[in-house]
Amino acid sequence: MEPNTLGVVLFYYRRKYRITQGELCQGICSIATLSRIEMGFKEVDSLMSEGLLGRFGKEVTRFEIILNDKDYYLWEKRNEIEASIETENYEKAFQFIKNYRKITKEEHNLHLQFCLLSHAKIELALHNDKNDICRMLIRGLDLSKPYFKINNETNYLFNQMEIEIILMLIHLEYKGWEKYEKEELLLSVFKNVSKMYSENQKENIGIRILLALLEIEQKDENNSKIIKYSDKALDFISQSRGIQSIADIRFLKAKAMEEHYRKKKSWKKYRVCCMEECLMAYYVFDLLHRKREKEEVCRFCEDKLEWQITKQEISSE
Amino acid sequence: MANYKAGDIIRMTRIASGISQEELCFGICSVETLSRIENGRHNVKKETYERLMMKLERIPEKNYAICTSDDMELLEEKTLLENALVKYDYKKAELYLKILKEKVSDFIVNEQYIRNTEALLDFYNHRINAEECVRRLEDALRLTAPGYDKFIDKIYPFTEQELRILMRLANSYARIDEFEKSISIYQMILRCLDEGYMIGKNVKTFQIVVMRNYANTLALLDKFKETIDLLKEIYDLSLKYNYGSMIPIILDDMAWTEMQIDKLENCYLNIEDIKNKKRQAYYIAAARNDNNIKKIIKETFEESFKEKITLF
Repeated sequence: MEPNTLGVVLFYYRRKYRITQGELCQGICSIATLSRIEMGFKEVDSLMSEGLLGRFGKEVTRFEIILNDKDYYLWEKRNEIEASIETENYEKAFQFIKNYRKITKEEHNLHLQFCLLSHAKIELALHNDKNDICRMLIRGLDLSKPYFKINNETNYLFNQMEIEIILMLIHLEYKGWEKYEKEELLLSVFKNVSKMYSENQKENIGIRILLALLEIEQKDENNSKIIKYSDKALDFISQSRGIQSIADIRFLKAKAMEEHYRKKKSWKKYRVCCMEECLMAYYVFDLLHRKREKEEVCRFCEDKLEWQITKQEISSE
Repeated sequence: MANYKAGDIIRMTRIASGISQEELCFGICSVETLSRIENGRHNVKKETYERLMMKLERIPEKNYAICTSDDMELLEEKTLLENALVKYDYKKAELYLKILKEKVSDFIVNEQYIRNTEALLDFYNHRINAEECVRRLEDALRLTAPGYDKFIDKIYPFTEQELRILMRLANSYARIDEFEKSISIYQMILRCLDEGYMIGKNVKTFQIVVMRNYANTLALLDKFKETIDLLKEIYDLSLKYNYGSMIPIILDDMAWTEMQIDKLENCYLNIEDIKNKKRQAYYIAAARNDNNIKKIIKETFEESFKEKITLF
């Protein structure tokens, strides 16, 4: 039997998770196009493959595809844009985005969505007007989720790009969404991520959703929820390979535990737990050369736990 | 998993096999077309790609992963099996392998996967010795790369699965004290990965795993200074590519290697640094809830230094 990657994979996961063609392809392509993809009569580029597969949380690279050269060229250009944003070469990034837009003008909407998201990331980094950035992001989200209504949404299939847009809107405190709506949306998306996403993508996206939930609860000083989401995030991380957010989560958990348990009888026991969380946070901040955060942990330990992380207890600086 | 560039695969395979463009494209396409394909300036059609690859005696399909409508479940089972292997849960891995064997189709990549995993599990479950493991891994590899050893000193576009088998083969050669062969295979794998024909985030993490296995082999040969240099490189790469679960392992490896250097030089001035490194490894493993690694570090620390690793 001839292997036929994308179509077969989409059909398989659609059946497995009981998802209709309409739910999967909404905003990305027509149902007729999806049918032709599933039957192997149509090949699509890697961005559309990512868009469709991504709604199941699966990665294109999992299927070890040989890319055609135009597709590979665009993939390289996208990497170039992402790399220049990461290295804060914003002028270069703007130029790359402009060129990418020129080349992909006649292509499907996901290319424009990618450009809008990249542009928004730069504007955010340059601390430009939040409302303008939100408008750009909403325009981007509309391209692949034209029927999205936060308080009436039933289709929680989102790919990585769509989730990134949502997370940015929440971080920017987008005025079009209420706090409880954001929390409900994040929890629904998180449920799908936990159920369907591959291990890699869970690490990538799952943790970012939990961090966004933590950010919301921090603003409300809801300590029991902070502890709950921290534990969930740490559980996710333990199934992954990453290390980036661990120290922040451990420290957040320590602070929430201190607030929550200080006035209770069990404080003696939880004080030791806080100290352990702080020590773990300290070592990871040290590993990542995050001096300011290390000092914050030290100050917290001295002020709130009446305990000093001494030079003997840490690695050489 | 990785994606591959069509032009690179064709060009690299042709050059490594010592075939000219004229010889390869004869009866399939013009030399100019082949040249443009190899340099990424021409979209190669599926049929042309298949014919070129068959002439090069390589997998003709345009995807290397197991994927047909029957095999989608296979891919899921494979993921569960791989997760069990990573967690050293060999009993569970054997269960998943049994299910895979019942469902597997006759695609050669599937057959190779089954054979190579079986060899590994039989070895870890003490049913075969290291020599037999080497023989069976070689058999699995030769299903798709029959002349793989011709390329030991070259660069060849092995698939990701072939590279994984090669890494296991290198590990197995080290176990039977064939260190030269083991090291030459590690070096070949690293050269191939450096070539950049495979694309994907996991390529870097795979490279780190290969380097760590290579470092272990150098340590077996008492080449401690080379081992430390390599471990430092792995540490930097692990940080750069966010391979957090590797960091406590590498820190622990570095501590162990420094202890061996101290023993050889009969000098114990670095003992506090070594203890600190192990503690750092312990707390980072703890931060990530890597309980198996945390346990191993704790046990070796307390055995070596006769004191507790935890501070309270």
